[in-house]
Order: sequence, then structure tokens, then C-alpha cells
Amino acid sequence: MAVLMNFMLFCPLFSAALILLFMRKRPLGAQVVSVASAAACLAALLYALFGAENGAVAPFSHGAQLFKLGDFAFDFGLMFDSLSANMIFVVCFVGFLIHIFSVGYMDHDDAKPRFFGGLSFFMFSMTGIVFSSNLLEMFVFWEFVGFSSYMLIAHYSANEDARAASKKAFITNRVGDFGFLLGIIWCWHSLGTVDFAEIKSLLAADPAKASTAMGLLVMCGFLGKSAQIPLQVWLTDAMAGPTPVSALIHAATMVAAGVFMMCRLGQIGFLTPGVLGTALVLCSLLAFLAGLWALGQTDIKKTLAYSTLAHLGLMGAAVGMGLFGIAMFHLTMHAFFKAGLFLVAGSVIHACSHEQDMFKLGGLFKKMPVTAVAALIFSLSIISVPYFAGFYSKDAILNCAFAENVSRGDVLSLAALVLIGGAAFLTPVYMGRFFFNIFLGSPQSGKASAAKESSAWMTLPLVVLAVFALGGAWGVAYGLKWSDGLMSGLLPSAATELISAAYAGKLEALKNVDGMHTFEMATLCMTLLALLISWGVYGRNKGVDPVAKRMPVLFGALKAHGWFDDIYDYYVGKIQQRFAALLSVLDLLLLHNVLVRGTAAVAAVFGEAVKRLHAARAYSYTRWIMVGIVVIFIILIA
Amino acid sequence: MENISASIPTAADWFSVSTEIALVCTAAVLLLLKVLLPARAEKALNIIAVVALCLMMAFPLSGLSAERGASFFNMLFLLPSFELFGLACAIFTSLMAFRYFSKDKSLARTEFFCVLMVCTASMMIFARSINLFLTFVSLECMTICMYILAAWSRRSAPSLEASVKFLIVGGVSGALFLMGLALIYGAGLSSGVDFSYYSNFAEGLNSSRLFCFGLVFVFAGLLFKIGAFPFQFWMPDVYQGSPTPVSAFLAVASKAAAAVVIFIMAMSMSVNSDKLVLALSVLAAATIIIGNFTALTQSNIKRLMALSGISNAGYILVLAAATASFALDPDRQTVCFTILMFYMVAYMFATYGIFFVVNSFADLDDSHQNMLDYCGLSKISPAASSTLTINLASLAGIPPTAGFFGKLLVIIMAWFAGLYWLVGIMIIGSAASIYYYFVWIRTAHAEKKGGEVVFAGLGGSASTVVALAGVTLLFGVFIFGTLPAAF
Amino acid sequence: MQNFYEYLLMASVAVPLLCGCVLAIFPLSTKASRLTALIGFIIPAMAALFLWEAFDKALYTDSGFAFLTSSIFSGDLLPLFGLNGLSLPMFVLAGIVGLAAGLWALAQKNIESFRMYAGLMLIMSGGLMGAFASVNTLWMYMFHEFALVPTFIAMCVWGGQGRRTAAMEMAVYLTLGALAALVGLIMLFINSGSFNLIDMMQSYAAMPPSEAVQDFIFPFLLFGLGTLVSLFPFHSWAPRTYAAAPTSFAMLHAGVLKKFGLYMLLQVALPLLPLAAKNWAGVLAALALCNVVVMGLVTMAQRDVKMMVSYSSVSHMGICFLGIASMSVLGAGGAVLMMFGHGLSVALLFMLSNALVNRLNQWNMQWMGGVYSKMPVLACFFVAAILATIGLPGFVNFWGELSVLVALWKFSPAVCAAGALGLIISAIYGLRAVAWIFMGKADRRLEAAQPVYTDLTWQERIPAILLVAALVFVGVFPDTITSGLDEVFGSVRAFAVNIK
Repeated sequence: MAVLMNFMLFCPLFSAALILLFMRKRPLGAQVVSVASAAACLAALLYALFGAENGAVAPFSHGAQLFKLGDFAFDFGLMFDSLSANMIFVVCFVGFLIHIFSVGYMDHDDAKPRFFGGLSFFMFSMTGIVFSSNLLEMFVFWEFVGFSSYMLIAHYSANEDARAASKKAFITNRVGDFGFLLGIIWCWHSLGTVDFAEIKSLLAADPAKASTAMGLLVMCGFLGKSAQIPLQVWLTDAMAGPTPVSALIHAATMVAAGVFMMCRLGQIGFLTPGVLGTALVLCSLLAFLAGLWALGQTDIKKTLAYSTLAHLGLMGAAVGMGLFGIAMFHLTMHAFFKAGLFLVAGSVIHACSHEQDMFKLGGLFKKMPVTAVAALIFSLSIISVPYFAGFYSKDAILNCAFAENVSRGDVLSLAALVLIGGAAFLTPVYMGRFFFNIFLGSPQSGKASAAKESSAWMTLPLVVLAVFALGGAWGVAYGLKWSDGLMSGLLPSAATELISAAYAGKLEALKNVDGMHTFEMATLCMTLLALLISWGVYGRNKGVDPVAKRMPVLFGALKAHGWFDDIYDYYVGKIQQRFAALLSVLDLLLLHNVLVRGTAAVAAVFGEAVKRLHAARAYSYTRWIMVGIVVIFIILIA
Repeated sequence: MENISASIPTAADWFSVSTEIALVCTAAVLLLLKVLLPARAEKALNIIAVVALCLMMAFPLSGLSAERGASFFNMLFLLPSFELFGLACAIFTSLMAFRYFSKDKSLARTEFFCVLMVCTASMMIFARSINLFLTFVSLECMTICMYILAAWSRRSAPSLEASVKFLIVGGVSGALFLMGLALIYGAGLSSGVDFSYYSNFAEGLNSSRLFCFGLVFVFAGLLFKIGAFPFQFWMPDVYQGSPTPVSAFLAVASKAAAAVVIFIMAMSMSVNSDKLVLALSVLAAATIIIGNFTALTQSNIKRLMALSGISNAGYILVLAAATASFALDPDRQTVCFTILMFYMVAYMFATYGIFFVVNSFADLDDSHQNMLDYCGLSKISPAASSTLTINLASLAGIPPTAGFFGKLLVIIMAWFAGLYWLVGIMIIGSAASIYYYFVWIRTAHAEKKGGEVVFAGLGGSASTVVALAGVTLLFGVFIFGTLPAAF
Repeated sequence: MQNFYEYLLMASVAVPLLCGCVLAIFPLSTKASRLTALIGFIIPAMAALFLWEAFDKALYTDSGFAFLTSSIFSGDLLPLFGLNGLSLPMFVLAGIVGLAAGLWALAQKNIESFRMYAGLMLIMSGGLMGAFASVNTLWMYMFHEFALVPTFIAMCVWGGQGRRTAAMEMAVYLTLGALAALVGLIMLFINSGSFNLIDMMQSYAAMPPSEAVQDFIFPFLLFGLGTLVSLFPFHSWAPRTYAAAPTSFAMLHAGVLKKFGLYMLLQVALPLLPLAAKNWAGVLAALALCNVVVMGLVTMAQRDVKMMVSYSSVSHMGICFLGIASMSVLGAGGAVLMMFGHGLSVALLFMLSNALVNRLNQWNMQWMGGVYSKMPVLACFFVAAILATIGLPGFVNFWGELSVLVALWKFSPAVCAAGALGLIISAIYGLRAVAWIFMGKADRRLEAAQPVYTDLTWQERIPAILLVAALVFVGVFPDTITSGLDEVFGSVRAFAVNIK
């Protein structure tokens, strides 16, 4: 097992090194090596999960001490349990498909080796996060992931917004990492260890040791990496990178790393109720707001980025309610359909020669049938239409929010329920707007009309992902007796133990929550209603956003996505920069010129004065001698 | 202390003053030959003079004068190291004189060497005497010879002006020394003890107030020679005016002699010397501050060398104050004396190295030589600029040069003596000194051509200059390495 | 066999000094002088690496120093060489950065009178090797001062704009600091009777001076050495000096010489004056925080590439001081790692920024742009150096910062949080520089300066590869350094006993 894990971790690193050092001039070789390494990792994973090791997802870990100084030691350990199995499956599977897709997407790009090298390096660091056995090691790979996203966002280094976006992404992640590091150091000092297994045993024995402040600090890492409320500004700008990057990093895996970390810590009891409560509030708030802001975007990838924010908020809310299993389940399903949606956007952009404005496209259903069908499946899945993957995971969160509100009955859980419900309501609206304007109606621009179906490289991953977006949850939900059994006719009702046993147990408990059935019926109707509204408002694609035309003020408010960006830009541009300039001038003026050169000037003036004394006539010298003698007298006698 | 008992000097007495006698005799013989031989032979005479000086090094080296001139010349005591030092200064000055005379054919040559020899002889006696009367006589003889040397280039106004100023101020301080001597002798008469001998100073100090009064005047005379604060105003003008070899001799030899005498006096003050220590440290601090800060804005080279000499006199006075405070353990005082000699030797090598370079400029007595004349020296003659850099670094006290070790030892001694604030002043002083030494280095390595005086090449003195720089670099390391840590 | 190491250690100090003097004195032809220079640079580096590999605790005599040259020639005040866990990484750093600076100088075609330039560099790098290898504290101080005059002359002759005033400022300021440190050393000497560090350790352990005496001596060393390492209030000489110094001298000075003050604090001041170190830790931490935060912000306000790099090196020294102020084995070990990593990364940064400014003959970062497409190799090395400086894992700096911050938490969480701010500040100015210089399109003001877009030649890439390789090697295997450090700080009685 150790050999497999080490292979899965270091194979992408080896391929990245190979590409970046030796294949700078051979794009074809770079592609082959990169895709081969992704395929090898996937194969190794499948072998580990379902092959000779009879899938026993036995918790396994081994470590090597890398660094020891005084009583502080950093050991590099690998850990494999059901949680990391779930996450690594998403990373390798979606990663492999996106490698295939990017071969087609980047066919006429001139910096292919750098791109594929960066992709492999990202796979290495993402696998590292999943396998790391202690918080510090996770922090190390956390930084590597931040660096690889910086490198890949800045792939088109010539254009201006990629330049600003990559810098913004890395710095915002760094702000998150600042809190994360402080949390880890506090944990090392208070608990004496950062290893998950040891923390688990420690906290099992004495739960009072996990302090809320420490949890909040560690949560900063989650806020930074998964782009939650205060630090969500970088994700939408990160769309300046190539679309496969947006699909892999900014939809499926990297942003999900934060949720994975919270689940890992939650399972070992590190997160106190205070921390979970804050996570619930922040994430559900973002879930709702991101849905609103998505309506204000005209760019395809920006819309999908806001929808990713919304769904990350949902996963965060699930974690906030303590449902780590369900959060991971939604993460997996979200990876499938969101990555799919981004690949759809990619093939559309590729086909319409890099036209990204939704309202310039239209009528692509006939021109790109495969992409269109896949897009339809992904959209229905994200809207959470029954039988689609999205339904099981997203509605599960909705139901649990309701159950939480019923059981707790306080304002916090009510607010969370309302916000999550709002988010669920908004999803069909902006997804409908996305689908209707791109695929239905008539092409609004020359590029749209000249579009034709993408090559096999791009459509194959789309099809595979569409299959998973449709049936992905069946394998899981099959063993699931839906809450009140009445709907079992509609749905197969058996669950397997791939996701954690806790998940199935949790949903069992939902059944006996009173009013659950009515709540489910209500959510289904709400989804249909939202779809109708979306058709009404955005249905007939006329090349311009109807809300923008009729209510420009509302559209402006939506577009400005909560003025976070403006506030941050104001702070950086005005306050921080001015303060730094003031300090620099102060340092130069006060410290250097006044103090240092000032004393030098005083010395020179004193020297000049005494020098003049020397150039006098002889008799003045004798006068000085007399003065001298008198002085000596005074000292000697007095 | 045995007084004048034996009337007939024995062989040992003669040997103890052999170097001085040899010097004076060669001077006399040279003068005679100058008169008898035709003008053509003058060049040969000069060379004979230098060779004679080198041969005379044999006397102190062979230890001939090792025996104490006990009986007859009971006024003298053994100090071979200082004789070597005096002769070395004389040799360097005469080597420099050759280059100096080549610039102006009309000046008298051989007489310069004779006067120089007499001056060195009197300096040696001045440094070795243990009786105030003999000190006064040799002091006056030495100073008068220096008046003559300072006025050597007759036609140049600065030289004459320098020697007149030197005469006036020297005369005043000589008179003060004499008055002090008279007072001390008077104090001695009343108490029946001959205070003019250094060894009796201790009793004199705590017995009669008149003795202290006299002592102050004597010290004033000596401090004039070394260039301490209230008495140093004559130095810049005299150094600027007098010919370069003479200002070098003044800077090194006369300062060393005066320093040695001050040290001998300080060592003989055994009891309640805290007032003396205070006086010396106040003077030392003032000298360091004045010497260093005046030099900051000085651009004339020879005045700058004078001011750097003054600041070094300040460091020597710090050592003197430290010696005076070690009144109770004499072995530590002898260590201070060896440190003084080490410091003076290091100072000699560095200063002569610089003056050789100053001397090799075209201007006759280099009185108008300015910092700008050194622009681009590293392009014209790399040897001159690199040796100048090494010597200036030694004066500034940058390791591994000998100057650094000198300063280090002075600081250690001052710290042992508990003069903490004085060490602080020394630090500030040497930091300021970095500025004006490094401005000189900087201009030497600048690329644009500056002033009007042309650098005329090192010529014959190249080998001596390089030797001096080499010694400055390595002298400190070896001597310091083997010096037993006897602190 | 035992003597071979001692001779190698002495050779690594003597050879560069010898080659330096030969180059300075004898007028060799350009070919001969280049060859001598090469020898002078390679031998100490090879010797350093060989000694690093051969170094293990078994070689320790009871004095705590390996490779002691006392068997060869011993005189109380003669130089005595030896390496322990603390001086070894610094010795290796001096070797590597010296070699890189030398190779870079050899690769430059436009240095006039190369002989003198290489001679001065060799004297300086010989002094640095000697400073880190010597056990005798006085000789440690003297070898360090070797570097003052060569740097001064090099700045006056080959420096950039504003070099004359910067050279003078540096000379006076550094001498003032050095003299203060010398007085501290003398006080240590007077209390123990010898300059040899081993005897000092024994005599101080046997009869430690009273707390009042220690408190009187320590500030001299702290503020004297602080000035050499640009501690906050005494840093104003550093930025202008590094910006104006010629490339190789800026690399040596910022990369290695600057670390000497910290090394001496750790090697001499902390073990001998533990009580005073504890009392002064608060002041040191406060000043170091100013270094990290205030100077970090000032770095953000810089627009000149070289000034930005110089100010960033001043701000990173703050982290090393925080490590020392945390008074623990972990903090001190972190400081050493940070010194090692920062030495390499700042040397690489100075090398590349000088190459960049010479090629684009434009110093303002904002007016550059799109350099990546024209000079990819230089861009890659620059980005690697910036990432190392801002503390990306995989480089040594990350281990240094991590250990210092972990150690600081025990000292005080608030100081640790403020110190960790440095992570964000360095990320901001580092990445902003990369964004301005390499990405986007070429600025029209850059075109006006007629840039010459030639990428790094192969000779220029070798030193860069050398530095990056060293950074990554120790970054991936930090225990090559930390094992020795554990030994030194653990075993030094005063250190271990008083501060845990």
C-alpha cells in the first residue's frame, strides 16, 4: 500500500520535473508524459481501491522524520482512510479527464510544456494535501497548491488581467495561510502534536482541549483556499487562466481542499461548536449572495465561478452542521457536474474562437449536439432535478438544514435554512439563463454561427462526466431508503458503504423528523417554479441581458458582487500604499537624513570652526598655551 | 639614588652613549669634508651620510651600549629600542631628502644631513635622560635644530613663515619648561632632596605644592612637543610650511621622543596620581576630539597629516593616563611602555609611507598639495595608490594593519585602567577619522583627473614605499601573535 | 588522516587570500588573472563542501569544535580554526556564495581592470571564510573587517549611481558598529583572560560573571553587531550600499557578510552571556518586529528593483533576530536556517536584478513589463529566487521562518502573529515585482530606454543553477544542517541550562 501511495504522490512530481527541465522545447513529449502520469495515478488508485487489496479502505499511515530541532520535529507521513479515498478519487478521476480535455483545448497554444508541467505539479501538491498525515505537512502542500494555481493562472502571462489575477490569488491565499499557520503553531504548543491520529486520541480523551479560537485560526486556511466570505474575491478573477485550469483547480479540486481539511479536522473532533456555527453562518450567507451575484455576470466562466462559490458555501454549511460525510458527498457530485460545466464552457469558447460573452452566443444546440446534451445533463444535475447526481447531495444538505432548524429551533439555524433555501432557489435561475442564452435561440454573433463541434479529445471527457453527473449518485443512493419510504417507488432505495456509514445513518434519522415530507415536496415545486421564472425572464435570447436593459440599477448592484473588490482595492491602493510610502519617506527623511547625516553635518561644522582657529597668528597660539596651563592647574590643584 | 660620585667615566659609560657620539662625530667630519672637497663631491658626501646612519644602527643592535652608564653619565639610562627608532626615522627622512633636493638644485644638501644627525643625537639623549636638567638641555638642542630644518627651503614663503611660528611657540614652551625646572629645583633645595631626578618625583609630588606647580610647567613644555590639545595650534602651519622630509621627521620622531619622556615621568609618579590621571585623560579626550573633527573638512594634505598626528597624540595620551593610573604594579607599566613603542613604530611606518607618496609630487615643498591632486592616482601609479590605501587603513585602525593592533592594545589598557568614558571618546574619534582617511582613499581611486599639481612618479623611493606598506600589513600580525598575553 | 582536514580548513582560508594578493600585486595577463581568480573561488567552495560532508559529531573534541587546527600551530593570539554545528552552515554558505559571485564576475565581459576587481573580491571572500572558520574571537572580528576596504574601493570604482556617498556612509557606519562590537569583545576578553572561544566557554561556565556585568557587556555586542546586520534603527546604510555596490560585492556583502553579526551573536554573545540575553530579549524582539513589519512596508513602497531587494534583505534579517530573541534552541536553529537560505536567495536576487537592470538600462519596476517572453531563463531564476525569499516550502527559508515562528509562540503569541505578518508583506512585494517586471506587455517607457533583450549566457546560468540547487537541496533535506545545530545549542551548557 505504501508503494502505491508513494507512487501516486511522486509520479506527477517526477513528470513535472521531467517536463520543466528537459522538455521545454518539445510540446508533444510534455503532453504525453503529463497525461501518462495522470493515467498511471488513476490506475494505481483504482487498483488500490478495488484491486487486489480488496478495497479494504483500511486506515494506513507511515512516516519519515524530515526535520528535528530542539523538541520540534516535522515528519513527512502518508495517511489513507475513507475520507482521503473519496477525495483522491475525485482528484485523480476528474484530473485525468481534464488532462485529456486540455490536450484538445491547448492544441494551438505555444507554451504547452509550461502548462502541462504546471498541471502535473498541481496534481502532486493536491495528492499531497489528501495524503498528508499532519497539519504542518498539509500546510506545506497548501502552499504548493497556492503556487501551482498562481503559475497556471498566469499562463497567458502577456494579458493584463491574468497578471493581476495571479498575484491577487496568491496573496489572498497567503492571507488565509497566515491564519492557518498561526492556528497550527497554537495547536502544536497547546496539544504538543500536529499529527491527526495523535490529536484524535488526545481529543477523544479530553474534548475540552480543542479551543474555539484555535479552530477559528485554522478555519482561516479554509476561508482562504475555498474562497469563503472575506477572501472570496480571488476565485472570480482566477477565471483569467485557461479553462482546463478553471475546471480542475477552481471548480473541482483545489477549492474543495478547504472543505476536505475541515472534514478531516471535524472527524477528529478538532472543530468546536463555536467554529462550526461561524462556518455555517459565513458559508450559507455566501451561498445565497453568490447566487445573486451570478445573475449580474455576462461572461460564461464568471457565472460558473459564482455558482462554484455558491456550492462551496453549501458544502461549508454542511460542514457547519457537522455533516462531514454529506459535505464530502456533495463535494464529489459537485466535482463531476461543475467540472463538466467548465469543460462545456471550454469547448464552447474553443469552438467560438474565444468568445466568452454569453449573450453573443446562442443556437449552439444544433451546431454542437454532444456538448449541448452534456450541458443539459450538467445543468439539470446542478439544479437538483430528481434522479440526477446533484439532487441527492444538494437536497440532502437542504433536508438536513431543515432538520437542524427543527431540532435546534434557534435563529441561527433558521437563517441558515432560509439562506440555503434561497441558494437552492437561485441556482435554476442563473443556470437556466446560462443554458437558454448559449444553446437555444439564434446565434447572436458571427463567431457563434461559425461554431462547430469540438474534437474527440474534448467531447470524450464531456461524455464521461455527463454519465457520472447523471448516474454518479445512483451507486450511492441505491442503498438509500429515501426519508419516508413513500418516494421509494420513484427511486431505487439501497445504499452502499462507499461513502461513510454515518452518511446513511444520518439520512435514516431524517425520516422521523415531522414535516420532512412536506418540506421535500415544497423544494421540488420551488425548483420547478425557479425554472419557469428563468424561462420567462431569460428565455428568448435577444443578445442582451433583459435585467440589464430594464433595471440597470439592479443589474449594476448584482454585477458589483457586494463591492468587496472595491473595498479591498481601496484599502490596498489608498491606505496600505500611502502608509508604506509615508513610512519610506519617513525612514529616508527622518532616520537617514536627519539623524545620520545630521550628526555628520554637526561634526563637520564643529570641525570647520576649530579649523579656523588654527589659521591665526603666532601670538594667539601662545595665548592658548597660557589658557592650557591654567586649565591643567585647575584640574591638578582642585 | 647614587649621586655624582665617580669623576672619571669608565669604558661602560662611553659605550652607553656611543651612538650619540658617533652621530655627532660623523656630522662634524661631513661638515669638514664639505668645506675641503670641491662641489662635485657633494653627492658622494650625501650618500656617505646615509650609509653612516645605517652603520650606526649596529651600536644599539649589538647591545654595545647594553651596560648601564652608571657612574659618570648617571643622568642616562638604557633605552636601545628608542635609539633604533630614532635612527630609523633619520634614515627614512634622509632617503626622502634625496628626492626633495632633486626638486630644487639651489638648496644646501650635506648640511641638511649634518643638522639632522645632531638633532637625532640630541633627541636620543632627551629621551634617555633621568634628570630634568639634561632633559631641558637636549630638548632645547633638538628644538633649535628643528627650527633650522623647518626653514630649509629659503626661497619659499610658507617655509619661512612656518619656522618663525615654530620659533616663537617653541621658545615660549622652552621658557615654560625652564621655569618649571627652576621651581622644582627650588622645591628640592628646601627639602634637601634633589627633585630634578625622576626617581624623586614621587616624594616631591606629595610633599611640596611648589613641586606640583613646577611639574605643570614642565608638562606644558612636553605637551607642546607631542601636540596635545591646548598646545597643538602650531602644528598644522609648521607641517604645511616645512619641507616634506622635515614634517615627516617632526610628525614621528619628535612626537615619539616627547611621548617617551611623558611616559617615564608618568611611571615615576607612584603615589596619589588620580589627579594626574584625570588631567591627562581630559587632555587626551580634548586632543582626540579636536584632532579628528578638525580634519573632517581639511583638504590640504600636509595640514591633514598634522591633524591626524594630533589625534594620534590623543591616543598616546590615553595610554599615558592609563600608565599613570597603574601606579601600584610596575610590571603593568612596563607592558604599557612596550605598547607605546609598538604604537609609535606602527605609526612611523604608516606616516613615512604616506609622506613618501606626498613627497613624490612635483610641487617644491608640497605646501599647496590638495586632495584633488590625488584624483585618478590608481590609474597613474597603482603602486602608489595601493600603498597609500594600506597606510591610510593602518592610521584609521582597520585590521590586519599594525595600526589596528596599536589601537586595540590602547583600548585594552584603557579598559584595564577603568577609563571607560575615554574609550567611548576614542571610538567616536576613530569613527570620525574613518571619514577623512577614506575620503583620501576614495579620491585616489576616482577616475576623473582633478588638481593642478602633477604626480611625478615614485622613482627611487618605490621600493621603500612598498616595503613600508608590506611591513605595516604584516608587522602587527606577527608581533601581536607572539606578544605573551601578559595583560 | 586527522591532520588532512585541518590543512584543508586552513587552505580554504589561505588560498583566496593568497590569490587575492597575487592578483592585486603582480600585473598578470587577463588569461592568467582569470585562471588565478577561478582557483581562488573554487578551492574554498570545494573544501567547504568536502568538510560539510566529512563533518559529524564524532570528530568533536570535548571543546565542541571539529577540525581544530591547534595541533598545527598554536599561540594564544594566533588564528585558530575549527568548525562546529553553528559555524559549518555559515562556512558552506560563504563558500557557495563566494563561488557564485566569482563565476558571475568571470562571466561578465564589461568589467574593466578585471584583475583588481577579482583581487579585491578574493581578499573579501578569504576574509569571510576565515571569519566563520576561526575559533579565536579576535581573529573572527579581524577577518570580518577584511571586507571593509575592498568593498569600499570596489564601490568607488565599479559601483552604480550614488556610489560615492553610499560607500562613505557604509564605511563610517560599519566601523562605528564594528568598534562597539570590538569593545564588547574586549570586555569578554578581560573577564575571561583569553580571546579563544573554547577557553572563554570553560572560564565563563566555571565562573559566570554577575548579571549586572553581563547586562553591561551585552548591549555593546547587541547594538554593535546589530548595526552590521542592519537591525532596525541602525539599518539606513544597508539599502543604498547594496543598490550602489557592484554585483559580486553586493552578493558577498548582503549574502554572507551581513550574516556575520548574527553568527557572532549566536556563537559568542548568547552562550557567554545567557542571563543578559534573556533580559535584552524583549528589546531585541521589539526592534526585530520593526525590522520585519516597518521595513517590510517600506519595501512595498520601493519602485527600484535593487532598492526593493536591499530593503527586503533588511526586513528578512528581522526574522533572524526574532529567532534569537525567542531564546530557545528551536528559535536559534531557525535563525541559522534563515541566515543560510536568505544568504543564497538574496545573492541570487542581486545577481539577477543587476543583470536585468544592465540589460534593460531601466531601474523602475513599474516601467518594465513583458520581460518573460524575451528573457525566459532569467525570468525563471528570478521567480524561483522571489519564491524562496517569500518562504515557499521546498526552499530553506521556509524551514527557517517556520522554526522561528513556532519558537516565538512560546516567547509571546502576539509577537509571533506580528512576525507572521512578514509572510503576507513579503508575498505582496515579491509577487508585485514579478508581475511588474515579467508579465503583461512591455511598457512604452521601457522601449524608450532601448533595452538589450539578451537572455542569460551559459556562464551566467551556472552560478544561478548553483545557488538554486543549494537552496533546494537543503530545502528538501534540512536535517543536514539541523543535526549539527541540535548538537551545538543542546550541548552548550549556558545555552541549554538557562534557556529551554
